Amino acid sequence: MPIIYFFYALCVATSTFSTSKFTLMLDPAGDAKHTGRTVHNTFERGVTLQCAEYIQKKIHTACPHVRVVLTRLPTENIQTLQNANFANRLDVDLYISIHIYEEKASTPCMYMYRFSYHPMLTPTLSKDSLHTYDMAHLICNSTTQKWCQQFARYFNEHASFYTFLGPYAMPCAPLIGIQKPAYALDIGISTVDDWKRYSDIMVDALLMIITEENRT
Amino acid sequence: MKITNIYLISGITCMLGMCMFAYFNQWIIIRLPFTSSSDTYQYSSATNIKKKQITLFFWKHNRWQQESTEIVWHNEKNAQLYHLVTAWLSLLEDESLIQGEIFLQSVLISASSQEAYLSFDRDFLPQQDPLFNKWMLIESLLKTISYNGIGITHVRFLIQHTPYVDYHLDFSNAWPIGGFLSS
Repeated sequence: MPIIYFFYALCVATSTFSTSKFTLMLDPAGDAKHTGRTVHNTFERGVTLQCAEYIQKKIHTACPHVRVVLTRLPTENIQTLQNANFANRLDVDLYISIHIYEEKASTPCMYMYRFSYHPMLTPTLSKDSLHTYDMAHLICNSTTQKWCQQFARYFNEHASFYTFLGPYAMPCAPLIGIQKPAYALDIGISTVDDWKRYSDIMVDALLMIITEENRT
Repeated sequence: MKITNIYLISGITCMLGMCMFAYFNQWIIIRLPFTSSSDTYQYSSATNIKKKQITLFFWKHNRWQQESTEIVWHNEKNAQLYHLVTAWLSLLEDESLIQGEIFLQSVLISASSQEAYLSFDRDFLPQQDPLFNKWMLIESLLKTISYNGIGITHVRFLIQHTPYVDYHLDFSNAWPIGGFLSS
């Protein structure tokens, strides 16, 4: 009986994903084992999950056809490369890894990263060819760079209470092995509820990308 | 055979046995004049040691800071790197950029002389800080190595001789000496 349920769930999931126009995957930092940094007497994993769930709800309200998937549940433990495997198998359109830290400076900062292990190498690789997992990001390199600039422009234009820094290309561990455009945001919050203000800006930025993508 | 001869032969063989035992346990070391010895190596190494003015870099108050100091400079790359990175770690500790005392356990240079393996005794990245600060710490180490002309192209980071695993930064591959800041 559980096997029948499993196959039913799989069929439903597959059919849903195939009809969705855009799939966004949100990765809240931390898991059941990894608490992350201390943020105002709580842990990073709790704040990032709240933030991801908030964004998921907001996007679902604004664009019901967009599928927003979270990489983990509150009690789940994530293995190395599990998220990359999950994202590649679902063939998501966009992957955002959310990280939050306690900002000690007077003006909070928001950093944006994309993955790069080869500063001098910027070709776009074919999806059908064989390559190592640290070069997977080069498959959608041009889209990654294009969206990265759009995100950066939007975050810069709306930087009223924070300073936006980036986008930086470096070996960001949470993004390794992901084929589709993937970014990490490291957000500094001055008060425990500051993440909501960032989330609203992130939702607007994501909706801008999704709308533009659907148009093309 | 006379009893005295028996005592004499026994005494000589006993002495020989003791000498052999001492030799095999390296209590007695025989050094021939025509072979190179560790002392001569140490002497030749010692003559190649000199003082050198080096520049150390670190990231503080949102900009690069640098400090010059003098260290002993060997001919071998691994010894140069060892002293350079140890000086850099001391500076970081003085500037309170790292928590506690961090030791560089060992430095190895690959057969091609282009890649260095740095093994630290424990994690030295500030885990509570933004990812940017952790990254800049690594960039400052790479900048220090590059600026002082060690002549390597890549660095691999290890903790206790095992690959460095960090939640934010990936060290599964070697980092280029130029870092990633320019990209």
